[in-house]
Amino acid sequence: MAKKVLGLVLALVLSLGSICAIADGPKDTWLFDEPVTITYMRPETSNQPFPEDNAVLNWISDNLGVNIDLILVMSDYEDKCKTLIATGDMPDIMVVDREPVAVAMQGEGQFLKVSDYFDLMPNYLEAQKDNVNFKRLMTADGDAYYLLTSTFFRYTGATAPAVRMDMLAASGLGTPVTFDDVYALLKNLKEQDPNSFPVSSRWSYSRIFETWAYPMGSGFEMYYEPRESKWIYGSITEDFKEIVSYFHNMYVDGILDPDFSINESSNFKERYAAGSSSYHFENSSFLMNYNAILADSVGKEAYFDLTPVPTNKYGESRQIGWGKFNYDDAILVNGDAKNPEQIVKVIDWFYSPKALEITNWGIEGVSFRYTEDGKRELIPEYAEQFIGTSDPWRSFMGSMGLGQLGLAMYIDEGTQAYYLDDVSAAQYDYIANDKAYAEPIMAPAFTDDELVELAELRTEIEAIIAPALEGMVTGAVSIDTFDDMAAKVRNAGATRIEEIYNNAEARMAAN
Amino acid sequence: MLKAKLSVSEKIGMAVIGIVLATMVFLCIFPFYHMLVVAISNGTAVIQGKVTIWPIGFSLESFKQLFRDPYVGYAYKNTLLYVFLGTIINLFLTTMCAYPLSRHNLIGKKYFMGIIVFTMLFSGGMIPTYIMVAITLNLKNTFWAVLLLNGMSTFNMIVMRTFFITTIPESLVEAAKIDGANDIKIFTRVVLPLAKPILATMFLFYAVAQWNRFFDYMLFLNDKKTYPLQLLIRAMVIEGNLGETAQKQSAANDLFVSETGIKYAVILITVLPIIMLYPFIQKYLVKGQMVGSLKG
Repeated sequence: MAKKVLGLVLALVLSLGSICAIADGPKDTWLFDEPVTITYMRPETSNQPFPEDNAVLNWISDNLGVNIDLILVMSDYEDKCKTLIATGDMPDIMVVDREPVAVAMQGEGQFLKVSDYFDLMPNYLEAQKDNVNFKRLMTADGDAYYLLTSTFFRYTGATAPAVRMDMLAASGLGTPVTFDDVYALLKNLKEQDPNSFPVSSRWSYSRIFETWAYPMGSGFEMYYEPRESKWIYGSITEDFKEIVSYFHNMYVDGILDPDFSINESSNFKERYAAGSSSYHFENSSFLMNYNAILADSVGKEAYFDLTPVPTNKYGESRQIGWGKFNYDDAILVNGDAKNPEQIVKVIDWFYSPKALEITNWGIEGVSFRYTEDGKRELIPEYAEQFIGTSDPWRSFMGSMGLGQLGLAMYIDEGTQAYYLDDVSAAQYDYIANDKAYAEPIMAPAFTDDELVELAELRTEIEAIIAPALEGMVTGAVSIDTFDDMAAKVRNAGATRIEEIYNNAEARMAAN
Repeated sequence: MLKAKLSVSEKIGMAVIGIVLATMVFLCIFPFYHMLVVAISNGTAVIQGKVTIWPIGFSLESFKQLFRDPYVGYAYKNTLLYVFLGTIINLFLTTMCAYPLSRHNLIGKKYFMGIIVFTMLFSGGMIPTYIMVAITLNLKNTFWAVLLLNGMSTFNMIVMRTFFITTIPESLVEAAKIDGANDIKIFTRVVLPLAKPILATMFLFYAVAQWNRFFDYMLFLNDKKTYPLQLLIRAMVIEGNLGETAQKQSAANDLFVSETGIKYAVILITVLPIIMLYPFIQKYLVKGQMVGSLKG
């Protein structure tokens, strides 16, 4: 209690200090001669809510003379973004989903062409210098309409296989090496607990394909196939047919959760935490929370641990890693903003070394301090108040709006070390050192016309493929119809999509 | 009162009706009961799927954690304010529009009615509506954007107009005029007292609609402290965004609360107030709901 009061008092002092400082007039550290107000809209995610009073925003206001009017949206974020974009009522800065919003709408004139301002953004360019996909995120003409968050350091998880180790031991089968071994193990897990469904999935039918298909030797929808060095529409290949058959067998044998395509994340996670599912090919960072609950409800011998990515029929052990950079989100600037230069300068500050510190570690003397050898460390009095919450690290980050789910555009997850248990630390090490996890290859840069054509073709194909694939897994549609479905999808435009992708790839290589 | 003796076939018929009705009641009540049972059970039992009929490991932690989230408190207050204000605006506009349109001597009645009905059939669509409300009228980030945008339902206005036509005869209005009442007095002293059933029905319809509204608030409001409960609930239940509620729960101990428990708790606290309205206005509701079935 005393610690919370202390934290509150410090935050209040800081807020009052900020107000007094603004009232005192400009500081040498201000970015501009006059105070500037910038509207910034971003989603507020489930794992890390923002605090009511944000010490980092207060610091920015005080020390940079920039008041950030933060608009947080809890639900229907994409709808709100699209409405604001369509009505021309965008905030100065907004974070959007990269593929469905930023890429799809980048040619329509609402977004600032940020590449025209790159000379004002040295920090951003420095932070992106290692990004192998940097040019892929532009248009074919070399223009950039959005920015990405960058990573200084982060613990990299993955969509990785994991199994209940107590049940694996009980099976006597050993760690699975191939996908055939996996299937044998899954059958055994089912036998150990006939009421269970060892494998579950979430969100929609596509998720299980997205997570399993690439390691199994194919890929879901469009993906870059390193074996053939080209882009392929994976969901209609012979390799993919075998994967559909694999899932169908899992469904028939009672291995695959019948709700695999409709589970929400919470249902999905509860199945693993409750012990009703035991083989996990999903977000590895969930495992820590499962283990805490399993230890309580089943016993300490029940826990999940990572296993190697099984080898596919081509002898490859491969999975697409999360990569160093976050390609899911894009940062947009309002194309009609009256002060674009000020806005991009503020954004560029967010990639500076000082911003790296403030937006990831918080306030010096409150949440972190420097050690004698010049390294940053969390102040225990502040950090300890979050121990005992369901996710102590996210709770710490949320207390000041820090990190990727907070205000940071340049990510440093060094603070996580304070809260990391040994098992999770070992899992992060395991994934970081496992060569099976590769940096994702983003789609090549397209022209505006190609983007429009791709959107149309995808809509047509999705209408054919979605009900067919889900039906083939459950048995509502015969797998014998796969070839007919594949032919229809090819005729509907899959071949043309492959052509557009590979032409764009060749164009990039030529330049 | 003497009870009529029922024949065997009548008894069987009554029994069948009773069973059907009891089943219907069970089907209506069980989801709420199940949510209550899950919300007051231990989280570990919930995620293990052990909770069905009776609570296991009684705990009010879901509700406690829910109310520890400061935004739930803000949202509750906001919702009560928005429903109260919104329903008053709705009833005011609907009665003020329906009554004149129900009088035969209103000049241009068909013209006005045509224009109003047109809005029921065709709307401007989301983008033009947003531009008008948020940009032209500059109502963005105020709850007036939503309350005024949804000021009146054309369908409800037509139902109320039908009520006035069929229930308030012209002769009654003429009698009041002969007694010296002006139009406002006639409306407030004669018409409205006779319109209690339809007012109660409309009150319920509008209050429920206001209570359930979320999308417009999402679109027009930017400050989280001004969000209504439904927006918060939607974020928690549909999008799994449990916000500060989930951050403050203790893991792997006796107080463990499942996400499902919190979701069910939030649904319960959301539906209870509006359900509690029904008993108070049910007698008017039965009369009022018949109005729409009469020819206008």
